[in-house]
Amino acid sequence: MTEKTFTEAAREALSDAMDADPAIFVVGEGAGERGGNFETTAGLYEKHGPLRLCDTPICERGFIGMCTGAAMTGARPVVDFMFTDFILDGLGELINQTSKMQYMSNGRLKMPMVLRGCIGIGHSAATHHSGSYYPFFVHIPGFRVALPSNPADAKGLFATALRGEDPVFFMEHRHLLNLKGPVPDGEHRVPFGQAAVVREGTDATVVALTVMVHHALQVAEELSGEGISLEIVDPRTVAPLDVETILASVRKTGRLLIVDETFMPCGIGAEISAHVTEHGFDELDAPIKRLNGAHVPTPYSPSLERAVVPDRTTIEETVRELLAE
Amino acid sequence: MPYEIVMPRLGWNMEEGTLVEWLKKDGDPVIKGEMVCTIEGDKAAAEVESFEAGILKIPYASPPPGQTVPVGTLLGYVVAEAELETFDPNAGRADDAGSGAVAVGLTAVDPVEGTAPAGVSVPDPGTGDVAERATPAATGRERGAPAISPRARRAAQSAGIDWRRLQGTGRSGRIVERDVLGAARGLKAARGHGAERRHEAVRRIDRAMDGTFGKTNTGQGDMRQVIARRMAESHQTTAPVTLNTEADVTSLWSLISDACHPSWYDLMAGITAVALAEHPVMNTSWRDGVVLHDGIHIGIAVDTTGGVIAPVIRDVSGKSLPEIAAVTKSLIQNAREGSLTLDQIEGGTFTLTNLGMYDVDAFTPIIHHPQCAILGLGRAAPRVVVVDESSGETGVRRMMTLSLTFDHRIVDGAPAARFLQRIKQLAEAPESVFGKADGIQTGPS
Repeated sequence: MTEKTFTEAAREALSDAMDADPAIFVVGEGAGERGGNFETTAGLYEKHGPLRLCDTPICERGFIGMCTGAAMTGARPVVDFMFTDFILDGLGELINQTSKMQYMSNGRLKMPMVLRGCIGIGHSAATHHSGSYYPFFVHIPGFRVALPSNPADAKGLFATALRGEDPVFFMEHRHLLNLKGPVPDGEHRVPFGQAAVVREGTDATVVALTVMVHHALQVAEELSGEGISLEIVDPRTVAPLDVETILASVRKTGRLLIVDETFMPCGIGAEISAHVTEHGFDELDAPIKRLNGAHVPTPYSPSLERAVVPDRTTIEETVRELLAE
Repeated sequence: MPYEIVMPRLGWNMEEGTLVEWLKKDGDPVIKGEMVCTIEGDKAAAEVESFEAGILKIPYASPPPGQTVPVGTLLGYVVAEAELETFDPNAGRADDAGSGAVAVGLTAVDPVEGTAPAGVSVPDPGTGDVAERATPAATGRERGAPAISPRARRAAQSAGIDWRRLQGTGRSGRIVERDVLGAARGLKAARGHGAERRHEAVRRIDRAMDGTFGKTNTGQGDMRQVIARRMAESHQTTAPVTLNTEADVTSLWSLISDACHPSWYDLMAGITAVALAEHPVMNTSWRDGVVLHDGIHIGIAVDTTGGVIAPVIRDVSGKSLPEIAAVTKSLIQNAREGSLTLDQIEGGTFTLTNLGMYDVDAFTPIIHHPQCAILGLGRAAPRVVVVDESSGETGVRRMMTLSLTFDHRIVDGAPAARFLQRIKQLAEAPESVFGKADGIQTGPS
């Protein structure tokens, strides 16, 4: 184990994979000599050169199409978008081609492609640089979506993404990029579809995503002083989604809250809620609750930004409401 | 294939029935043609016969005796010995369409309106279409029933608790799991003693839970459950009648300033003890018959933050007024502190309750079941009354309304009225009771 930041841990996974597999290459604006807007590729240009650390102009749809072709023909592209918002400029390519190619080729073509970018509200980055949008990608057959919440998972999930055969969205919350934590040295993979129970408890289950895991843990710690025992589940990937671990937790607690910074309608909370009512109705002692970011475009002002995302206060309030149900 | 024992339809109009009792226990061997349980429909009772030999298995979800369930509800299985190891009675019904459910017959035993001649087995005619209605657990919220969470409903079913009687603590009164578990703890305490008779069980639940409350102060929830159950039990099983009379308590009132500072409870306990000794039929309980009590032990209803509780003054007849006052004081203090012990709560033979301090004149107390009667004390208010009828002279006197509720199963109206009249007489002439310093005279002076 070595103490590393989230970004360092993910970069270690990328660097190790690039050393091992010459088919891996990175494209993106500033991904080359600059080392990535968020240092996602720092130091790799010097090692692997401009062919494998490929700077691009601002033309998302173009380089997504190019990378889709590269993946179809045996390479392993990693597309570094800086911000997830920019992925939206290439959605036509992604949904109409990238996600369907394995199906349309009857499995003869593989689509090993990693699409990475920052998500999250909270740096006065305004409405074009604060999006998360991962529920879109969960909706489309063929995509996988990883949402690491800590450095060790960042390394492990990225390593798994780099060795799979499907297009994977690897989403990095901006608040977590400099978060430090112990990271296993050497080879470390976290399988997709395996949630982590990050805190055990008996009174209610809180499923939290990315940065919300940390808020939920703090709330759980505070409430433990009152004898309230929360179980916190971090799904780690939402496509595939580990429904079984969530159900097992609800079987224990009877109560469920899903905390997700993204918008509520048709979101991950709705998906989890539907699974639990379908498969765990008799386990429920209270209606399922969801806590999401406000359903509005992200504001620029820091005080308004704070008002549109769940925080410790709103999580605690919602937990209390859930326990009073 | 294990045979299913289901709630049979005793007549075409029968929609639901009650499991009265199992004639066999879970795990008992059953021979073909043997009766396994008794059920009761609208008009008739019937024994349910197994058409197969095997071992009786009763799943957790089976309704507890006394619960009314729809026709077709699964009660149990008769499992062949060879299948026993692989069969899980709690796994749910393999075939919910219920095609194979004609495994039981029934023999009507009701002599009056039996729907089938005695000794004739009739295949259940209703199973085919009724099975689709499934068990209560699978149906939605019944009209008029309280809301209950799915988890609590399942917990109630496995604990054999009729949740329709529970008070929910969830939002807007929804019954949640903790409500069911609380009720289940009470039931378990009762079953743990191996109580056989129903009144025994009720008594033990109350004792166990009263005791728990008193010692560990588990909070209002448990105590409310006990009170709720006892009040409902009393109201449903007794034949209560309340008599009111007014007593002139002016001289009794003057005793309040006595050195020992007696309360109304102390004074009326002394008076009631004398009256009870003269009217032993009122110092009784109903336990499948009238039980006369030798001692006179009077409970006093005390209002605490957790709810009302009635600690008992023992052997009132042998005590002087100061002694009674001392006992009462400590009982009330213990009740309010939640430190009453079991022997301070049980064994009462009669109960006093007082709402006079809240300006209540008369009320209808609920009998402290299984005791025969309870006396309610109203306020002792100064009133203008006729003191001499012939001269028409009026005067200001302290008047108190006494409300006696008695169980008409035990005693009739006239003897109860005579008892109340005697209390009135003694209350109006307290010197006959409290005249001696060494103790209360229990006989007529």
